[in-house]
Amino acid sequence: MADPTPPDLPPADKIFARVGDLDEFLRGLDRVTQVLPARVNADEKNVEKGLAQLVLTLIDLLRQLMERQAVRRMEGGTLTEEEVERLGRTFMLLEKRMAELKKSFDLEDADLNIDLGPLGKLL
Amino acid sequence: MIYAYAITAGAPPADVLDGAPGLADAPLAARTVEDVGAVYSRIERGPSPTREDILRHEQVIETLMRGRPLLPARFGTVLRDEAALDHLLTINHKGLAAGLDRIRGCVELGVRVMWDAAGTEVDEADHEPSPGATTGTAYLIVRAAQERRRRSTEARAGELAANLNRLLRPCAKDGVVRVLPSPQVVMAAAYLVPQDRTGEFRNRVTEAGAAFETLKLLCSGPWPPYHFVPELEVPRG
Repeated sequence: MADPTPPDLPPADKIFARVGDLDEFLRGLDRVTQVLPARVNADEKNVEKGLAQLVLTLIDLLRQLMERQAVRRMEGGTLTEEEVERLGRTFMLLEKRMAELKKSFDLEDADLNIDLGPLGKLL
Repeated sequence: MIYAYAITAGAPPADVLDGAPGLADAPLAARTVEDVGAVYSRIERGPSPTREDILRHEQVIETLMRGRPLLPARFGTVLRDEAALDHLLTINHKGLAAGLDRIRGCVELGVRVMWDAAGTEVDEADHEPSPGATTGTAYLIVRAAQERRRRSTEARAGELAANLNRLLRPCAKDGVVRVLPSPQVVMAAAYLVPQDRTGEFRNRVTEAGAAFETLKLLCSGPWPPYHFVPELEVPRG
């Protein structure tokens, strides 16, 4: 037996219910259009930038994980004042160096936050 | 090559296939393996992620889903030829048949919940390094404050999403919830809702909006059940 027909809405009308200002949701959808054309073009410049994006993403992920670990140790009181200072300086320099590399490859912070689909954002 | 739109229970009638042109206006065709069908069209070139192609993909699927259970294919699903499609249907027959049974009589409704970002902020004092802190120490103190804020935001979002899900989930057969997919979005969820309960679901969304005044809710649909398609075994090579 055939299933009952779904509610007969025109194709353009997909707002089923809403509480709040629709414009704010639509602004969020702008990001979808930014993701869709993200394909690898096999010319030299794009391949180089794509590889840099991937490598810098991994480095930034590691940097953030190490920073969080350092913060936990600092808050747990297992680091001396000298160690806190030394780690803080190291992370600060690393962040500065990352900013320089991103600039040289024309990458923004958002470019290093890969969307893993159902798993969410990487960073 | 061929472009796949959806898996269907049996083959859709010819008049339905004739009434929905596919990508680049290519005619639709269907193949079946036992009681599981697939709708596709022959294409000369791979699809592009353009507005036109994406809308056409969705239009075909929405036409097909009127009156029959359907598992939508992800945009851009391309196979070598009909033999490859038959093979895919054959090796996945059991899972696809079960998947079609699961979504029978249901539609997908999406729920997106946004909050006021200002409500997630902590005191600026948290960001200030302690007096006399040296550079490296000051850096880690600021990071510690940011980390506390991140954990607090995640906890609040998790709690809100759990409360909203408790309100909405009873009207649905299944649900997929993502908490804090972006800083502005508390929760993005997809619910598999029986068609005779969509009105009740809509009322629950409105109730949730009244109960959580600082949140903004958008319920969209009905959609094909994109989030409730079983994982397919894909042949290598």
